[in-house]
Amino acid sequence: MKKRILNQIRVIAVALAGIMLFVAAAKKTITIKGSDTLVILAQRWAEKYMASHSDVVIQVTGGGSGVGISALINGTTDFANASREMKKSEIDKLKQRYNTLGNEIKVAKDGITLYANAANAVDELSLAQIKAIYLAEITNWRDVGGDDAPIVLYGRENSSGTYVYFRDNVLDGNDYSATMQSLPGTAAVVNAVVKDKNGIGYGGAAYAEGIKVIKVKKDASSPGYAPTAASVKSNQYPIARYLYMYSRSKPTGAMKAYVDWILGPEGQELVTKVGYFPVK
Amino acid sequence: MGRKLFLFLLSLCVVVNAQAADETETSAQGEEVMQESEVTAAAADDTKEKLAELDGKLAGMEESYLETKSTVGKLAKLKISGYVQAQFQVAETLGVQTSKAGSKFDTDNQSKFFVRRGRIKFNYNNGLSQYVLQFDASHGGFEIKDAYLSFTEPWLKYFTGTMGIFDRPFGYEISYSSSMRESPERSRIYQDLFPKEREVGARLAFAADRGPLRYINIKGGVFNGVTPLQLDNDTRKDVIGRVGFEIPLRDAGMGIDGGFSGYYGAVTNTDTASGGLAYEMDGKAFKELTGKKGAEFLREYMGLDLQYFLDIPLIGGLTLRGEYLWGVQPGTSSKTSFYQPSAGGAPNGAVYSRNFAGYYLYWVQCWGTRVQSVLKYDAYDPNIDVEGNDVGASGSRTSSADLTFTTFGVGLIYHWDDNLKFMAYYDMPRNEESSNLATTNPYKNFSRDLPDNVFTLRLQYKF
Repeated sequence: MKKRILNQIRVIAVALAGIMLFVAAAKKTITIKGSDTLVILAQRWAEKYMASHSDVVIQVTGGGSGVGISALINGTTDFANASREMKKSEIDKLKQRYNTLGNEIKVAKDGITLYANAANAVDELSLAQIKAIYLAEITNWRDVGGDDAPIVLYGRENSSGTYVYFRDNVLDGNDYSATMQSLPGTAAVVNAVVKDKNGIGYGGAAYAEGIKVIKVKKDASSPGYAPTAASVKSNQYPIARYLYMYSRSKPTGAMKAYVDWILGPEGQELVTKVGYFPVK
Repeated sequence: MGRKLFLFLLSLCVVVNAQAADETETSAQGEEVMQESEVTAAAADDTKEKLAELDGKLAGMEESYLETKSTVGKLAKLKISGYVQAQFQVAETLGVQTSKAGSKFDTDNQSKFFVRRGRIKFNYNNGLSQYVLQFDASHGGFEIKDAYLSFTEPWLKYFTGTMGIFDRPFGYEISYSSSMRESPERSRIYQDLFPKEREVGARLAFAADRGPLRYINIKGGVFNGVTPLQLDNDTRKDVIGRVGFEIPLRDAGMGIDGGFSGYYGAVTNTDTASGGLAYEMDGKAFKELTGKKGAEFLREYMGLDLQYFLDIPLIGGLTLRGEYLWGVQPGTSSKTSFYQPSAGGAPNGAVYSRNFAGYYLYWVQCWGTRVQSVLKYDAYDPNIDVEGNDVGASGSRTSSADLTFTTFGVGLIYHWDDNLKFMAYYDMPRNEESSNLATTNPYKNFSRDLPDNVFTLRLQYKF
């Protein structure tokens, strides 16, 4: 009888060890969702990291900062990428559901870039002028030193962190003009401005290809700055911001290793290559 | 438009060039070229006409798009949400009357299925203003839960005014949604002091979303001082408010929130016997007061609440929260819930004024992302001037309404997904015992602890 019990214990122990080995050998999947501003960088990070860490699978999708943070709250993603800070209402939801305030990681810096068509004669705009343009108080390029042509506004949808950041920090919380065409991604904004010689758009610095970057002045008497590594790092560029990764809890295990790698030399080098600016 | 102009000019150039070339040609060729140029001009006219037609169609589509966008934009401002809580409960014995776990049990009943809450909420949010209407359809009946409008000033966006039926701005547990709460019901003290949680009135709230002021929040309002759908019977209004703070210590993985609340109000005695009877505590007994019809009796509460959040890596977040309330409550001889006029303004008996105190404590622990455990303890002494055998003593006019109750609860929650949640919860109330309240009625024999534990298995679907 005693022998039989011992045999059963052995079988159970071997089975448990097998299960543990299987679990240990299984690939760890990390899901990341959110900011379209960050999506290119996040995909490059994931590709490079997976190339040297075959035991980890990283799935990256966009959708906007709001979508990512919602997914974090409802438990369908491990990390939320965001181009803005979490709102108080979002933190409150995390508190109620997970008893945490969320873990914030600053992974890169960005200068929100004003895109114009290559044929546009305007080189720089002050923050006040940008605000007036997006509130439709200025509707003709002539009023800001350009040609006599109507200004066509392009922007992001309200699930975008860039939309929220721009509204809160450039428009001082005022709503965008109803004439603004809301597009589903920064690439779409750039594409629209490339085709429209009267268009203006905004988005992450990494997307500024094939278009004219308008320099931004803090006020009418200040010099204008383009979003460069130097101007963003020195905070001379007036609409510089951090890009974030949020998790529900402090990352551990594979998630922590991935964050450490992102904040390390390899990860931050990719930040520069993609067109953003390192946090350190 | 520019492209069309360009094509038109190009066509004209072709025509002009063709005409210029004609001058160098022989007269024999001239006729032929004239014919060709006429054809080209006709083609240009045709192109121009088609472009104009396309331009018209495009303008029409653009108009239609803007109209659709405007309609969709308006619809996006309307949010519909709701939840249903269906549950099965088993009581310790037949006919449990003293549990506050959702509802009472009939004499021959020990277990039951029922729908505790069935909510639907409509919220139209226009940025700085919003409209909210919420109904409940459940075994409790069909009733309005929220009906209010609110608006935020456009300059700082720090101040928001609200008017209608909405949560009383007191403490923490009132505003903590039933769909999120980790126990099936609010603490006994809240159920007693703030029936239905809501009230009719007007409120002003301060909440900053940036700068150092974002760590504090203040809300205060003026209310009728009756339950939400009851009409007021006096001109005096009750004032309720809370000053709260939030200390996020994100780097340390924790946060501390809290607040101080106050309720300053009064009720009007509607009793008609002997010019209006009323009772106040004098030592360990109620003292009778006469000629008090129409007299006002204070209804004053104070409250302190504290919430602590801690992120425990690998395990999950932890919350400890507690609240302590004390004050004066005007009730009746048999009820400590607040005194208010009967429906239709009929007299409601004499006012019994009691000093009360009570508190609750929660420990909520997340285990991963789907499982939560909860331990809860609450205590409510509706009359702090009497205890034990003082209650029910001859001539004291005290009754079982003056007994202290403590409740220990333990529960487990499983979040199936974002919508569906399972809750298993065991509620163990303990009543204060008084030999003066001994009776043969097994449901009211307070000379011992009544067997009134209740197990709840709840399913919730939220959208």
